[in-house]
Amino acid sequence: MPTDNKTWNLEDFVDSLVVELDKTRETLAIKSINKALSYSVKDMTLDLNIFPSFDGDQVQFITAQPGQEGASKVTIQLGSITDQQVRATTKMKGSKNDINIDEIDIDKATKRKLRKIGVTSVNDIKEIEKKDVDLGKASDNFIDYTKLANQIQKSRRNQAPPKVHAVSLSLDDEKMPYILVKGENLAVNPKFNPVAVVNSTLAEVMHSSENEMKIQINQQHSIAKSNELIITFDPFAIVKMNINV
Amino acid sequence: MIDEAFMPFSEIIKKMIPTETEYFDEEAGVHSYIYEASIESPMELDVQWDDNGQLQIGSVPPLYYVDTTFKPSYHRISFTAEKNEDNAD
Repeated sequence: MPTDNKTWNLEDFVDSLVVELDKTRETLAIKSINKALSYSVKDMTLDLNIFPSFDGDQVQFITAQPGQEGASKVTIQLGSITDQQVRATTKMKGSKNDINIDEIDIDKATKRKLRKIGVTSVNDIKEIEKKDVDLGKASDNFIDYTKLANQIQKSRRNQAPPKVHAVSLSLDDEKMPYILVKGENLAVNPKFNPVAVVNSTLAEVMHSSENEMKIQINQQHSIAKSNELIITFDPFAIVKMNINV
Repeated sequence: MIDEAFMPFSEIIKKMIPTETEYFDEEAGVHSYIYEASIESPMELDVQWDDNGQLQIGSVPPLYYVDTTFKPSYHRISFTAEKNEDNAD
């Protein structure tokens, strides 16, 4: 007799079922190399005896076990589907710059609410924005759009974090010393002016771009053998460095 | 993990698909083959989550052929095994 069955939701069950059917298909494909006659599995139907439960948010099922009576019946039909139909009915997932909502640092309840209104990625949110739909209203004021937009920006920044390749000291045309920081993805947010702090004293950022930043220093910064440099490129990218002169 | 008496769902399907599907009668000069088989069977299921958070579907055909006081819960599977198009006719 099997151990106690565990609860599952339909999505996970169908996912596992499809994985199992893929395995069958792969084996049959190999078999067909050596065997003249090979077969494909079509139109599968599963009648399941299950007990559904609803926790106020999600419907979950548990498969009936020996000795259990009064189970409900769920029929899952997996019909054949053509490539063309798949293209017509499926959203293209995993596009290069898209971010799945699972990768965004938001609470589970918001994620569930987003899924309920058909939003599974940042591109979906953009599409909603384009159509001038108020995400707050669409979710019965459950989703705080400003908070969500910040979390998306944070996730985007995590995908392209700042990388510092080199830091050097130099003199400008007026013989004033400055720190030159070179790297990738440095000041990428044009709406935010980067802030630099050298040895706990605020320093003026003379120039900033994606690959370069110049920070003016003077006597107040007490440059010594070992110095601390903290740069806030934007609210989601703060870098702390120790510079040895 | 799924119970050891059960096997992955893909295995059950593979085992249900007929293997000997060509029939020859050399004297009569007849060659027959099965081009489609519809299979329907009760089966028991053991649905478990594995360590990777994946749902594993264990399945087995009925283990008991006689009436018992402890009735297993029989789910039902049906599918069609169809000859592939590129097979020789």
